[in-house]
Amino acid sequence: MKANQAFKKLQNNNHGYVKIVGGLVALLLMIIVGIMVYWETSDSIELSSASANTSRDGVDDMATTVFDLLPIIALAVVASIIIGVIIGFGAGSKGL
Amino acid sequence: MKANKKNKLADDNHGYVKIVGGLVAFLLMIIVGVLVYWETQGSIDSFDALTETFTADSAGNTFTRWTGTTGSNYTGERVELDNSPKTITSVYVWNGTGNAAELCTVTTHYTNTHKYIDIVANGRSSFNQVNVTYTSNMASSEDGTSSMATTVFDLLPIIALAVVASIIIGVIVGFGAGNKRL
Repeated sequence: MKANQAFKKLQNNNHGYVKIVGGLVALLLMIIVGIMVYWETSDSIELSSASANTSRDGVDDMATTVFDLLPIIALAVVASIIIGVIIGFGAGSKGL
Repeated sequence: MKANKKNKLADDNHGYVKIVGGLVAFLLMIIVGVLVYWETQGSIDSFDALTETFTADSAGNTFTRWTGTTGSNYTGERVELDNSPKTITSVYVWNGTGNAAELCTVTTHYTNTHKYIDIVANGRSSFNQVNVTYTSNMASSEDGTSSMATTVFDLLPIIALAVVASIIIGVIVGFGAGNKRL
């Protein structure tokens, strides 16, 4: 992931922090854009058979779960960065 | 990490300045990120609770009040929402009688299938307008993302806090270490 990659490269990157924040905001915005595109598309599809409608409802339910889980990526990225900084405490020149 | 790297400042007169500059830039970027996210999110109306008003069914036929002998909504009406609803807050019908229109709830007299609301107002089937207030699936999904975004934005400054803490610890650890340390 871009934010994590930027984090890994921060030792030689003056703009690493800015990239992290930019990457996270881009990720969150991309999620809500994805949500909008998905539901606009799904809602516009008219299905004639009951079986097809049942299948679509199942996909919608799973999509809802996926959309609920996606923002946790951002949380994990922030957590990994904080842990990375803390692990670097007292690590000398090899530390973060 | 760059700000921490600057903690090896024994030979760098401008190290502290760079640390502070980096942290301020980081915190400012967080504020800018918050601004961008919420401005974008707030500009999309579909993420709000929606109220739609209908005077015709999903086929485009205008409602006609049941008069006791004629009227299209005697057996029920089907209306099509703009978005599929996650939760329906209320369904009202305008139960028009002459010039006075009375707003009646028909909470127990409708069924929802995908984007469609089938309204059978039972004894109140003499209506010529339907108001539906609902939260769409889209808005519901987005709400989870915005909740997590709030958490992420709350956590981001902790990175700066951790960096400052690491610098302070580095300075303290260097006490008495001679000119090789800070």
